Amino acid sequence: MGYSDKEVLEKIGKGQDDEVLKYLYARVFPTVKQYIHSNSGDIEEAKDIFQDAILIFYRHVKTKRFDDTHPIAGFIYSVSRNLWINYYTRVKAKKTELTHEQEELEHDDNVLSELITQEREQQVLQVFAELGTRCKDLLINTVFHKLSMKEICDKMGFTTENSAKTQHYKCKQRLIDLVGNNKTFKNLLQ
Amino acid sequence: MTPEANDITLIEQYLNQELPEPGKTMVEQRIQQDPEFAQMVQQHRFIEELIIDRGLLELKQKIKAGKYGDQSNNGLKLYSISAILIIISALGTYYFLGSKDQTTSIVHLSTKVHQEPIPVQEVHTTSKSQNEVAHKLTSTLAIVKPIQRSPIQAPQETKTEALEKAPNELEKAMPSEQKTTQNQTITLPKEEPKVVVSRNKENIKEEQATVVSTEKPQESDTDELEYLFNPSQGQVWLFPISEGQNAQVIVLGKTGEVIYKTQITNGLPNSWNGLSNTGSELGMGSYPFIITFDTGKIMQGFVTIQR
Repeated sequence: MGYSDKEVLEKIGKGQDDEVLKYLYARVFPTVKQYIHSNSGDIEEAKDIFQDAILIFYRHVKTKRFDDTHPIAGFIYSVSRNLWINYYTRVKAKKTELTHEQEELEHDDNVLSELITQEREQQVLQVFAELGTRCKDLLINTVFHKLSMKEICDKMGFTTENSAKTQHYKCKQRLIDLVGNNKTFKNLLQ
Repeated sequence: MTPEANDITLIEQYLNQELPEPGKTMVEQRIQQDPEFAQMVQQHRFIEELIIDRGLLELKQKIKAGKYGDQSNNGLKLYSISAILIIISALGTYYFLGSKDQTTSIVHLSTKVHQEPIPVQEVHTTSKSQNEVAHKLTSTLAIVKPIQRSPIQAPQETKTEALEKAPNELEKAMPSEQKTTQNQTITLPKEEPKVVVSRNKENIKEEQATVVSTEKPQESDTDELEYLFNPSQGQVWLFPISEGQNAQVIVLGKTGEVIYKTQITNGLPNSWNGLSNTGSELGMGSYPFIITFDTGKIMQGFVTIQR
């Protein structure tokens, strides 16, 4: 199995995440694992780092910031490397000396800001819990998976595209209200 | 549609960079002039990011539940274990029918191997290289492969787990490059030194009637069992020997000398603490090991000690 970068991006667009993940784990994970292994990391750490790198890659794609002239494997590898160096210098460096290679590498702190912090994760989960499962699923389908209204009708059982669309606006408005009532989010919105 | 719904559609298209000119410039102008509209854009941008994050968290759950990292591991494990099984059956056959009649041994080998989930092509290479090795071996010797680090972490789980997977699933899980590399090396089997003969006399005696070969350079990445433990942290190496089995475990040093040897009766002792038979702590490194079961089955590979 093997996909071109173009096919991978198309599959992400179509929501075929399972195939994409399988492919990326087969194609890119061994290299990342090897890198982390040879830089004093273990397999569990490699898995965590790779998972974060995948999420950052997805976020770039979903927010249309992914530059598709760059190879996907290279992007994920370099994000993983940056994440590892960051993690290493923050957590592990106290225990062991940095290898020469790691000292030479430039730090890219931007990559950290792409991570969903634990705090944000909690807030996001909380606000969507208040919003309710149906609205959450609908919005993830429209905004994250970018499904067409027709696909959403089939998937979520709306009778007409118009009713799906109306529901989509209602859910968005409810989310805006919830965010407006939430202190932490309110400050961020100002 | 209500005017408000129209605005939202406009904002969504604008945020998704799907709005063609002149609409884009118009929206930008409106943001400048109409603070209420600007706030709406801001709110929508904010919640779209929020929704994307929520989607990412769902993806994260999916990754966790899917255990994708493990899957690719299992694929490699299965590959390496199948490769070892081929060698074991080859050796078993060679041992029993041995030097008497090589043709029979190869026929036997093929039939045995067919039961394993391995492409037929590999069977031929095995037979061929076994043939070569058979010629090279005049007597029974322990052959120890030069230490090679596999780029992939070693299989640490049990065989049966990996064997449950079907071979075509394994194919899928294997990165395609790896396959090509293997194919390339098949055509150049003589490039690397194949065997290192241990000259330790004691060793030869102990290994009487045991031929351990690690021919097949194309399998060098996958044909070894590998274990890793850190005795400094109180870890031990649990032998891949189940209860009720009898076997002999031998760990060799860098020059092929026996540094640790133990007889396992009924599955006990079941682990090794990294001390040599003379009681000294072994340093960091990979040590070849050979486990000879009293059924004639042989397992071998490397055990890596970390400190």
